[in-house]
Amino acid sequence: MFLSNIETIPGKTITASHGVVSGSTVRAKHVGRDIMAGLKNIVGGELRGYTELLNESRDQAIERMKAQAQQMGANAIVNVRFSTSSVAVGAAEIYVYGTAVTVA
Amino acid sequence: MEALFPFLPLLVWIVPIVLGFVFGQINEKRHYRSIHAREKAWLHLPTTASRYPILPGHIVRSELVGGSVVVSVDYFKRAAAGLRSIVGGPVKSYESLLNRAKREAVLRLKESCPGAHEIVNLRLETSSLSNNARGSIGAVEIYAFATAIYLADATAV
Amino acid sequence: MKYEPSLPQHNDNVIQEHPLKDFLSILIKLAALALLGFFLLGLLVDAVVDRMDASTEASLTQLIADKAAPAPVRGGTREVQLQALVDSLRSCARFTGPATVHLTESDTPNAVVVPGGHIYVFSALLKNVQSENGLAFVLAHEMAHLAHRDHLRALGRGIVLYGLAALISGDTSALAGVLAPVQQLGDASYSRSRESAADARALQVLACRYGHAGGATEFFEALAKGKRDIPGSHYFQSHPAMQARIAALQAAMAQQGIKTGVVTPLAVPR
Repeated sequence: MFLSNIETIPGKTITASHGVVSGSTVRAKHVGRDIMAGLKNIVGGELRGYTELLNESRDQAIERMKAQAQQMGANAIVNVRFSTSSVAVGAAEIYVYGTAVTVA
Repeated sequence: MEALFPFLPLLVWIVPIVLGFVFGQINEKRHYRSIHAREKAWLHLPTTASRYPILPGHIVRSELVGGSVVVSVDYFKRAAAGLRSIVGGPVKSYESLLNRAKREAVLRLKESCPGAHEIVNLRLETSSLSNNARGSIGAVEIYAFATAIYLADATAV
Repeated sequence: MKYEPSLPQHNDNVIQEHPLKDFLSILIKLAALALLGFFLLGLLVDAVVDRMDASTEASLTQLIADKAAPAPVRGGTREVQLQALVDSLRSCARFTGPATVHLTESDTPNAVVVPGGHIYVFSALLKNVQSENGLAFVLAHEMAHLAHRDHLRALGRGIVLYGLAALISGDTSALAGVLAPVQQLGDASYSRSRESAADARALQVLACRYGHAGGATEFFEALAKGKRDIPGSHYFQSHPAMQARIAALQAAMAQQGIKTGVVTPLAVPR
């Protein structure tokens, strides 16, 4: 499954378009990360726990999007966009969407 | 009635959760049925997240269209998410809620421009509207916007 | 480019398991963990309070005692008689701290103890005891709360347990709501155990003062008349059910070989 965030897959031609596909996950952190983050609020620096959490979520969302595109018979997704939003205290939603196409 | 008084703390806790669960599940199933039916009906309208139209033909007019929906969480989902935020992991109750909301927003976008031949550059924005400042989610607004394209060619549906 | 529309057969964005399964599994685990944590912390607070010396206790009590004790509606002879009764119990109770009796007009038959050594007796209580022994038992029970430092235990538990709960639940007020029954059950159970301990000590004080424990259950019997015990209701109550308290006292009397005897008539007018 090819992915790109431009209109085309470079070096390939799009033969058919199947519609918009998307993948999303909502994940919450656990208290351990919360407490560490609270401490980091004082000293500053990268919140590694949260970075890992959001990276895992993003990977899972992309997998879900690919699975949906596969169901529709596509072999590539173009114009992929990401959106992260905080939907509740302690939980973040990662949303990724794009157009499922068949390339040759 | 008096017999209930000692159990009042437990009742106060359990009743909203049960109500939230029962009515939330009913609502969700009903909404999903409606979404499936409408998505089938709107399948004929090409939609892309890309900027360039798929269909050939002379473009007569284009229009910025949008569809929005605000969904709120039932008490059961809120309680389940609260528990999840302690132990961490996927918040399954919110996933279905947001999935429904997004699909609903896109459907409303399509319904707002009947007669359009194509939808391009579909984008979605999510924002959380919290009624109570701290803590639980009040509601989430999903706004979908795109450009609707009207073609001159009568054969392109 | 062609347009080949299709809809996905299954929705990968939503996990298809029953929502209750997720909710209940986490709830049960967290509740068990919370109960265990509260239990252990409760033991810690009890250990600290038991080992506290009298001067620390006095200064802590000073912090939380009512600076301005509310004046009773009437002073008078009845209050003096009650105070004399309390003072007569001191040697048997081995209690040397302050214990001042205040008589308050009220229709609720009850007696409460407030940090600082103030025992408030509500006037309707006098109508529910038949003898001096019965009244002495109630006063000895309240004095037992003072001797056991129950107010300090409650304060310590409040700080430690609610503080811990706030730390865990943090910003999610929904979670605090979800774990609330667990906290209430724990609090109620602890309160009942303190009441039973006060009952047991009062029984011993009564036996020491009068040589027998006649009249110990008078007050509970008077209150238990006409009230049905709803099964399961006592889990959330702060005091054990009346029948349970009577049964516990009778069992303790049998076990310790304390007998009943002739009771002294009530000198305090009702």
